[in-house]
Amino acid sequence: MTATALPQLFAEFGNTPDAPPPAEPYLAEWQKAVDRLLEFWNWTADWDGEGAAAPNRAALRGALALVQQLRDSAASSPQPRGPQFLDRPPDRLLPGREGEVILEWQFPGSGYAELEVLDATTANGMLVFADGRPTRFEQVVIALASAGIAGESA
Amino acid sequence: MSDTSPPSGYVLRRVPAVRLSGGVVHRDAFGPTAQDTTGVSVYREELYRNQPEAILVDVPEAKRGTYFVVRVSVDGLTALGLTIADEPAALPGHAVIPELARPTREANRAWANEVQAKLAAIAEVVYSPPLPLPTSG
Repeated sequence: MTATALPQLFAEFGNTPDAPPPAEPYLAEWQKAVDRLLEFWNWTADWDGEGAAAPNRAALRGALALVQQLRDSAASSPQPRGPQFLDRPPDRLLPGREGEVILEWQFPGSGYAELEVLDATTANGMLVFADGRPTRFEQVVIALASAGIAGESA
Repeated sequence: MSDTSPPSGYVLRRVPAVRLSGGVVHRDAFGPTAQDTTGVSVYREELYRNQPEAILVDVPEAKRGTYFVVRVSVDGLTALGLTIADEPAALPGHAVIPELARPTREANRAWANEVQAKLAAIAEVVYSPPLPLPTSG
């Protein structure tokens, strides 16, 4: 598994008919994603009642950095772009059982992509295709431009 | 632990609301907890036909109302290379999917994620809690 930048990873989905519209309508949704991640910050162990670990703070920093990076990229683009640019926020965002943070984008008719953020700098990408192509895995390096959280040192 | 995978039928699994979104099951619903060292828990559906929520009776009452129950066909599970092993527990019909045990997942995380995603894709919700609940999103 090699480290891959996000646009290259998600380019696998190509320009599907559900390519997102301009980013602006999604900015409020991106903010909700940021707020949701900050909400996870205070969740404690066994938050799911099944013994899940508390969300890992390094993973939360990584997820925040990733979301902020994608949001900024979306904000800079006034025109529709291909799905690989992820101009819309994840359809699902939740902590995993081991403290990792999972972001998922659905591409109706094409499949879905998941980023499993393990720490502040790395995530596992998984692309599941609806057309029967084998699932693809990539390691993603997160740019740590703005992972700071109020009251916390990165 | 015996190893008696029937050739057909379904197994049930408890899924907290947070692992569903819009009725779609997330692959983490099939992930092991730290205690799942022998596999992830399922229950044989034939013992709970028409009453799948009965597998929730030993969930603490305060949290019981936040659980869904999904079912997966044994054939579908087998097609993914998974097996079912009976493992007696408090409730009858308890079994585990050994291939998804925590140590196995830790040894091959990518494989486990893929299999869990495929399981989630074939899982059907057969019981929903009565009230609207917060889910992932």
